[in-house]
Amino acid sequence: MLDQETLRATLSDRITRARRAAPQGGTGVAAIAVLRDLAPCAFAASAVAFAARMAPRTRALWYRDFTRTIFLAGDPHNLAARFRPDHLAEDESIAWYDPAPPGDRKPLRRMLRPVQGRITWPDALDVPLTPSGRTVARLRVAVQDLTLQDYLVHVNHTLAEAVLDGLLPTDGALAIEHVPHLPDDPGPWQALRVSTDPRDPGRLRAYAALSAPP
Amino acid sequence: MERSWSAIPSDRASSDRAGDGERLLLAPVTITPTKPVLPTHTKGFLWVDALYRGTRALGDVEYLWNTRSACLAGQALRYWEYLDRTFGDADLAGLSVHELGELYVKAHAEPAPPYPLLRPYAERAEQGWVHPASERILRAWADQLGLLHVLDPGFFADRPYRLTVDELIGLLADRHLCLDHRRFGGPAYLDGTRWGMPLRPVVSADGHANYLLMVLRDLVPRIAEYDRVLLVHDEEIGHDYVLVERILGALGARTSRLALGRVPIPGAAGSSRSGGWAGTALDELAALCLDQVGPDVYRLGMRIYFINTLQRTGGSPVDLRLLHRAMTRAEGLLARADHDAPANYDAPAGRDAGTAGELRRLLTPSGWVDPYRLTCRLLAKDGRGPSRRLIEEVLL
Repeated sequence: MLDQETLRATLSDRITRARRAAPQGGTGVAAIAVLRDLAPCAFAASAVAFAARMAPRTRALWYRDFTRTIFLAGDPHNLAARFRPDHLAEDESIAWYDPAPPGDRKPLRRMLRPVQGRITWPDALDVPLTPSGRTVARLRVAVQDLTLQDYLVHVNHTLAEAVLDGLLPTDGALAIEHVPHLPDDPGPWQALRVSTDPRDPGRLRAYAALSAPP
Repeated sequence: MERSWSAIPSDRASSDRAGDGERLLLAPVTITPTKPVLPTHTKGFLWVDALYRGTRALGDVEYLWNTRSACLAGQALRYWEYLDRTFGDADLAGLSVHELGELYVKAHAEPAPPYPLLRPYAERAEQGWVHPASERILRAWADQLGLLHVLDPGFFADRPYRLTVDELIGLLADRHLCLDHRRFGGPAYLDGTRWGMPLRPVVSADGHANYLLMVLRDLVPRIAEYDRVLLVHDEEIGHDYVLVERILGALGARTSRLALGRVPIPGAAGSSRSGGWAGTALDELAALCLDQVGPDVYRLGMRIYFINTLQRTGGSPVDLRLLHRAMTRAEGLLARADHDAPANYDAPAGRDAGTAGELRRLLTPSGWVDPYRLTCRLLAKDGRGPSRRLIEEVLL
C-alpha cells in the first residue's frame, strides 16, 4: 500500500543509498539535458542510455547528488560545435551533459531557458530501448497536476536511478503508462519515485513506479 | 524636389530610384503610436530622414515602416486595453496628444494584463486596425514631422505581412534559427546559440508574439529583393538587433546596423513609459523655435542639433541653449548658402554630378550616406560645405 509510512520509508532508503554512493562534500554535481523536442519516448530512451553509459566514478557522484538534472530548452544542433554533448538522443533532439559542478556549465546554461510547457501526450507508450527488445519493465507515471518540468524530473530520476541501481535492463523495451494517480495498491514494484506533494507540503506523494511488465 | 508630406505614394513602402547604385532596404525600428514625438523619436526620425534622402540620390533605397508592427508591440496593445477598460466608450477626442501620452504612462504603471485580454487587440491590429487614440497620435506626428519636412514613411499605409507568425516560425525552425516549443504549450525562441547568443523568447507560452517577430515578418520576405539591408534601432535594444542581423545574414542578406542612443529625459530613467517629458516633445520644441526663426531655419537647425550636436550615441538630454545655438548656425549657413548658391543652384534639376559627388564621399562602406558626416561637412569652416542644392535635397 502506498500510505505515508511506506512513502517515508522509500524516501529514507533512497537517502541512505545516496549517502553510501560516494563521500559527501564538494559543490555537488548536476547533469544537463537540453531539449529541442519533447517526444516522451525519445526522452525516456535517452535518459536510460545516458545513465547506462556513464563512467563508474561519475555515476557515484551523480547518485550521491540524487541524479540531479537541469532541463533546458535548446537545440543540440546549434550547440554541438561549442558544447559537444556527452550523449545525444538517437533522433538528436536531446543533448545530455555529464554531471558536473553547476558553475562549470555556466556558459551553456546562460544561453538557454528552463523547459516550459504542458503534458500533452497519450496515456500509454511503448518505448524501445534496443531495436527489437521484449518489454522488460513497466513505468507508471502519476501526471495529475504535473508541469512538464515536473514530469521530466520525476521520470528521469526514476529511470536514471533504476539504471544505476541495476534494476532496469537496457536491452529491451519499456511500457510507460500515464495515470492521474498511482493506485493505492500498485502491486510489486522495483522502484518508486517519492517526493513532497506541492498541494500539501507536509505529505509525500508517489510520482512514478517501476515494475515488471504486466 | 520632393519635400511635401504627401510626396511618397502611400500604397507601398517609400522608394526612389537613381542611376548607379545598389538596392538598399532601410528598416528602422518602429515607434509605438502611444505618446507625443519625444526627443529620442525626433532624433530617430531626423537621422533616418537624412540618411534616406541622402542615399536615394545615389541608388535605390526603400524606407520600410509598418504601422502594424508598431501596433502589435505589447506596449501599444496594453495601452489600448487600458484605455478601453478605463474609459469604455467615452470619447477621447477632447484629450490632447500630451494627455493621451500621460494615459500611456498610467497604463504602464499598472501590472501587465494577461495576454488573453490583449489578444482581441492583437487580432484587430493584425488586420490593420489602429485604436482611435493611436490614430489621433499618428496624425499629430504626421503634422509635426510634416512641418519639419521629414518624409512620411507611410504612417497610414496598409502593409499586410507577407508571412504569418506560423509561417515565419516554420521557416526559421527549419533552419535551426527558431526553437518552437509551442506544440507542447511552451514559448518560441529565436535561436542564436550557434553564435553564443542566448535564446530570445518571441512568442510567450500564452501566445503573445512580440515586436521582434514583427521586425522579422517585415524583413524576411523582402531581403531577396535588396542588395543590402540597414537596420536602425535604439542602442538599448542592440542585443535584439544583433540577433536579427545574424538571422538575416544566415538567410542570405548583407546587413549593417545603425544604433542610435536615446536622448534621456532629465529625471526619468529609461524609456518613455516612465513619462516626465514635459517641454521636450517635438510640438513644444517647434513652438519654441518657430517663435524666433522661420521654417527653413527651424528645419535645418533641428537637423544640426539632433544629428550633429547630440551625435549618434546617447547621453545628453535636450539642452535648449544648444538648440538655440543650432538655430543660429542654421540661420547663418542658409544666409551664406543663398549668397554663394548660384553656380551650383543653376545646375539641371535632379541628381547633378556635383550633388552625387558630394554625397558619395559621405557613403559608409555599407552603402548609405552618413547623416552625421553630412552635418559635419555642413558645419566645416573650410569653406567647402555642401551646396545649397544638397542642403535642400537632404536637410531641408
